[in-house]
Amino acid sequence: MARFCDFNVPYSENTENLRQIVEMAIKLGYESVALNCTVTPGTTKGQAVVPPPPKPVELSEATLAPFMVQGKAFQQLTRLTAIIETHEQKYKVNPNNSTITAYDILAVQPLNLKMFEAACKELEVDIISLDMTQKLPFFLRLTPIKRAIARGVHFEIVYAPAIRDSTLRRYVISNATDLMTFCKGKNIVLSSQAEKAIELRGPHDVANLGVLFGMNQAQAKDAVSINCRSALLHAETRGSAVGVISIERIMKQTPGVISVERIPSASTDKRALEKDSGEGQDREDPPGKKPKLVAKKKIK
Amino acid sequence: MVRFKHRYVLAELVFGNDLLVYNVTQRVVYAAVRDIIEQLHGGYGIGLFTPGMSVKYINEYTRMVMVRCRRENLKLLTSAIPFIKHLPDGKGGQLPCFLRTLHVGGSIKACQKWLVQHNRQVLPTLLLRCTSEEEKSRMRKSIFDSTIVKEEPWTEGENDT
Repeated sequence: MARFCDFNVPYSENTENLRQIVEMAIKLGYESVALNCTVTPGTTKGQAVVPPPPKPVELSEATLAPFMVQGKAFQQLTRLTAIIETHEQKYKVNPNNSTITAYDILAVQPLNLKMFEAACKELEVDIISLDMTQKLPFFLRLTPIKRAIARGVHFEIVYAPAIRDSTLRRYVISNATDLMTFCKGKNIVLSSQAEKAIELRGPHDVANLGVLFGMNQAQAKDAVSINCRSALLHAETRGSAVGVISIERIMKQTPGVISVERIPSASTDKRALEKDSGEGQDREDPPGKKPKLVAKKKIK
Repeated sequence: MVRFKHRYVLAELVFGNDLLVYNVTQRVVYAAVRDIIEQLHGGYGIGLFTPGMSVKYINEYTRMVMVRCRRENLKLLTSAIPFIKHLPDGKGGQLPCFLRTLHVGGSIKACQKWLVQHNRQVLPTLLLRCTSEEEKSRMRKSIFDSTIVKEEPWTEGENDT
């Protein structure tokens, strides 16, 4: 069953506005939403100073009613988008920083060609997001994009700017169709960057937008559902200890919302494992799996 | 026999506040859809689109809209609908809203059948939002009426073996 996801809801301190956006997403039929924090790492030496992941929005029972009726759960994820321009900034976006790994999804917005190639070939990120609202500062090239697709990295196309303004619409459509020529519709994630609830669109409408950008019907539907799940899976293997074991504690805090607390890989030594064995629930990937594997699993 | 085949797009108007009733007419929706197609697909789009297009049904209370277009132009319509941002309200201002496509059918009857089924699924969720006991009992009664089929009483003739 297609599970519709919107992976770019900009996080702001205005919790009332955020709650309205998430409620509207639930009403439109989305089953996962990712709260996105955009950060520009500084160029000074040392670890990147990154805000901690935001807490999920509190939702009332009446809003979660459609999910309860069908027996599904709404998932709120956290995502970090790092805007990178120089090599120093690029090195800061690494999994050694524990605040960064605390986010569910890691995305990167490269501002020049070198960073774009680095993001496609080396960086451990899940989503590459390009600023579609202006003329791209560099030309897209096929080789890095093919490499990114092989690694399981996804490209993001954002649709709310196209809806907001008719001049931005032109840029979004032209950049999106450019990207489509190279990707051929694979590994594309369509998301809103909705700043207000009224800028969200239902998943089938977003798929129609995808058709406008040059995908065919099936690819466009994938871009809102399966590709998002694929990116999430890629993110999960990133947090596991060398891609083999990951321990998660699944907690049900409020009915209808499942939140997953990932125990970071640094603590997967034997003592921690023995302590948690009573409560936790292990999940082992099949043994022969190499680290940094392409997590291009399609989960329907 | 050549005839025009149409597609009927059933959409729900979503406003910021679910509970208020807005004064939206067929003419308003028609103008909004036509404007957005002109903006997006230009003079060519308008030329293709206008002949078969009409707003067949609108219900302000459930906020359902049914727009008809020719079968060849369905893509024009479905690609333009997400870009609708607001509708003019009667007093010269703009109401922020958007259209959410629910279903595309080949005939009005098919769309209506789908709409009945959709409403049947939506009613239980509305029950959770009722505030007073009287509303809740009315809601339960309408859910009951719409989902349980009444059994026909046996007639005398069929009871004979």
